[in-house]
Amino acid sequence: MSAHVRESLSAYLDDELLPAERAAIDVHLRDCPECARHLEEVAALDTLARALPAEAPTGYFDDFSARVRARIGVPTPAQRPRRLPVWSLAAAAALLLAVLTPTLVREQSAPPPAPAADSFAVAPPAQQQLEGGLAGEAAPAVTLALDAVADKKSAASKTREFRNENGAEADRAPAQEARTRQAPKDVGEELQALGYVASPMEKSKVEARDDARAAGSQPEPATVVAAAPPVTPGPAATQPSAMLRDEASPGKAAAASELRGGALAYETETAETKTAARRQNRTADTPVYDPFQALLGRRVATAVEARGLREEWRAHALTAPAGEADEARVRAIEAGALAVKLSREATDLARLRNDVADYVTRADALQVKRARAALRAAEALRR
Amino acid sequence: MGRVTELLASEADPAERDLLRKAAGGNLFAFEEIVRRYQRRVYGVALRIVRRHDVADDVAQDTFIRAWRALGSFDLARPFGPWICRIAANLAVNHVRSPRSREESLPEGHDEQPTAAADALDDVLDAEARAVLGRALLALPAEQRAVFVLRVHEELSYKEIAETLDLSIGTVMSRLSRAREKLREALRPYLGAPAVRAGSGES
Repeated sequence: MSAHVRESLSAYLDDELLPAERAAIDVHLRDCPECARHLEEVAALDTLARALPAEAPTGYFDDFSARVRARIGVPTPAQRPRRLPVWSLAAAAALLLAVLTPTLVREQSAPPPAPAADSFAVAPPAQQQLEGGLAGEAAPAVTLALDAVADKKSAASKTREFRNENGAEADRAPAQEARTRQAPKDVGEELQALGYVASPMEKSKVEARDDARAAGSQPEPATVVAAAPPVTPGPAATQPSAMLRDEASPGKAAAASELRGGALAYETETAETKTAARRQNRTADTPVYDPFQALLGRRVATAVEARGLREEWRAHALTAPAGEADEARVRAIEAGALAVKLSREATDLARLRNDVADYVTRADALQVKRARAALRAAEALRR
Repeated sequence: MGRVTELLASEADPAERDLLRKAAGGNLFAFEEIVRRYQRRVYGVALRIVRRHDVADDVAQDTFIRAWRALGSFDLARPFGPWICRIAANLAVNHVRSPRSREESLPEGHDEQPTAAADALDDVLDAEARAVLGRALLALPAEQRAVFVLRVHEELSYKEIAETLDLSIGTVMSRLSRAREKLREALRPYLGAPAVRAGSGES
């Protein structure tokens, strides 16, 4: 009897019972000190739980918003491979649209005289273009093009270079349905309900880069115009300093180049995708792509790149065979130490400590000393 | 239900409304300010569910990136806090469910270490009870923990929790009841402490 009541005490405490149920429990509680005590304990538990701190490492929030901004501006390697499809899909769609429907785009994109303050206002114009394009007459063209892409050998020489770069992603491009179908549990239906749309803004930079390259070999002005406007901050841009804080106008070029650094790191990161793998093969002229070797050969010049490399090693550890995975974990730690060296940021050090602690407590860790040495070196830097 | 204070704050803060409008219009710097305002709360939701700083960091960043993308569909008349916390909770739960999280073994609640800075709470709650609770929370199945976090820390109604985690209200109710029961069992020796009891005199 009282056990039955106890199951309802949680909901009673939250005032989530129907009035009749609540009244019944009120009556019961009056005569049952045990249940009354039980209720008190649950309430005390809640109070105790609320008092538990959710502490972040010191300094963690100092640059958090800047990191988020950097990731929005340019997809950084912090993005996991598993999420690549979601945006790459839209990226490919946008690029395809731009290439395949030059007329449509040219009409829409009278040279954008980006006003200073809005030079970072990247999303909506691009998004509207994309959505407009998808909703409009462009859609059939995309589908057709995708069918063609599916057959790699099928000629269409004019877009050959483009397809080499983006073929694999283009496979997945057919916009909405495909995204719904593929967009994994990862995002959750709730987000779709919220109207989540993979925004093109992240891709614009990548596209622009690809575009620029493509434009070199085969001039396609409409393409560049279509993807370019969001990319570069207007030259005359003077940002509201309150928002920018320490990154006010003078530092802007630096910030932008940092972002480009991120883009480069990212470019290599996507080496895990088939697309990039193909690209890699082309340049390295090796028939088999070995991500491990590719990561070993990576050079890192900025903290952003170091963090990117760290994430890639971590990701690699998940799929690599045991011995290689161990090496990858240690390499991830060393990349993390490098990030500390390059950034001197507390966040990177905190992360490194975490990673090393995790590693050395693994039962299968083979290189504990090496991991600790990396941490010691990084700790020494901070002093 | 949501957080009453949150609702009020949002109502009373035209500056934030303005920031959100600008952000929805694509102004990344306005959005960055929004991030600064909500980063601690979002991180808190994430950390309480995933229980690791590095994972919570990923989840928190992802949350804001998803929010930025979905901002166009966000109704500016609604409070922003619950909306973004739902995204965070979703991503956190998905992460805990993912196979990837199994690769990363959960360390023994090292993220829940109380800071050295002693505040008034230390007078009320002894460290041992917190440590026990931290371990008990860690031992909960992630789904139960998520429900508990959304109810106790985020003060969402059962209906809101059900929507957020895509569960029935009945499931929310039973998971929450089970979670509390496990935590209560673990904490029993401490829950009778007068100090704690004094803090719970609300019901």
